[in-house]
Amino acid sequence: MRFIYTKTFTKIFVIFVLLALLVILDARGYIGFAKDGFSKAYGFAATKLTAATTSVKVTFGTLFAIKNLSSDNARLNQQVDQLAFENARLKSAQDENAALRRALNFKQESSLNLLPVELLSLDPTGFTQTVVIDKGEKSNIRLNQPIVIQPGLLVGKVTKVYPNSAVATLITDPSVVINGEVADSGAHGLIKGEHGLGLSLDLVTQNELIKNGDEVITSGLSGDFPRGLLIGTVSSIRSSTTDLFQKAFVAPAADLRNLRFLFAVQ
Amino acid sequence: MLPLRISPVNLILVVVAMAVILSDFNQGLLITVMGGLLLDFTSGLPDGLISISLLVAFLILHFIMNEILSREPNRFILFSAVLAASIIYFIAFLAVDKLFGFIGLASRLDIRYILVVQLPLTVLWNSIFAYPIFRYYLITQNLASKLPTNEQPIRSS
Repeated sequence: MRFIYTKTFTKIFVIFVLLALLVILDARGYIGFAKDGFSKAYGFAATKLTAATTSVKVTFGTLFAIKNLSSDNARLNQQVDQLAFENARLKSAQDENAALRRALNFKQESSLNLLPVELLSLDPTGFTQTVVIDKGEKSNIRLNQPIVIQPGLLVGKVTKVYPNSAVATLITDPSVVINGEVADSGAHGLIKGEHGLGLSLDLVTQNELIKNGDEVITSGLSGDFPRGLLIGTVSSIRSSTTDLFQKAFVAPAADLRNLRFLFAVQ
Repeated sequence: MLPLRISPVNLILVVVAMAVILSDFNQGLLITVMGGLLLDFTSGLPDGLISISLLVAFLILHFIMNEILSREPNRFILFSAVLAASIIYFIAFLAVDKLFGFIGLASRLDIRYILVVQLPLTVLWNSIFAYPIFRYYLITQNLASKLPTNEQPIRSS
């Protein structure tokens, strides 16, 4: 008997037809509600499972961390003093800045209008750096909306919207390109994801100064992201004077491996 | 240097490879489709992309194992199946993504990165996890065989 007349072929054929139907329905946006339900159930189960495993991890982690507690405490105390001093200095600079703005009649920078969202799941395939969040079209989530961690650390942007959930692509995905600005020197460049390993700052002209430890923020030039969201800090510079442009690696400011509560910038 | 991070591991692919060796065709087909849909719904990729890729990998591997190789499974075959499943899956994934491109659903994937970094890492981690999953698969199969079924005994008149 020829293969196409067998039951096995019929089964395979039916499955491929059903998958083709799924592809079409997803592309048309007809299965948004089904995906919402799945995401919620999966997110709930994943959260419970993570909570259970975290308690075990923390217990064993504490045992291993005890030997380092003394040195960690001394280092953190020193860091607190340093940060307190820096905080006082910045507070003073902020007050001065506000006074100057008033004096010059500048418009006060508006604070971001944030909508709290919760992470449901991370992309398990490794092909993309995406997360599913628990709010969608009904909560006024729109395409390309920036996703941040308070108080303004950029995490990613919304790339798919369903009625009650949405998919956000993280800044470490190479498909997300951001106009960045080095806060200290004002150097502009393009920030691009490095497949979950970090970010690269590219196309910075040679006459601009960038150095390790510089903070990189969104420049607001493309219109996708408001100006001033913190992207990360320059971790290493990879370019020579003979190159046309400077290139640097940027470590993301947000801890993208431990995301839970996020905010969509409205 | 190749970053040895664990994220590219694909345990569902390992289970599919185990299903090819240890289960019958129908059970393997069911595991493949359910696993594929689970990954499709939790990933940011277009739906159906991973399901179809997994299904293609399952069918090709099933054909090779049962029609060409036709041998009793041993550890060498087990690891070879995981290795072959990983490579076939990646090739199928990129091919299906190209096909999706014709209907405007292509993902913006970095093919070079996928083949040079992600494929070797997936092969490495999948091979490491192959044996534990093989043991787990056998345990669940044994437990499942002990469960009562609805089959009625044939009564002799």
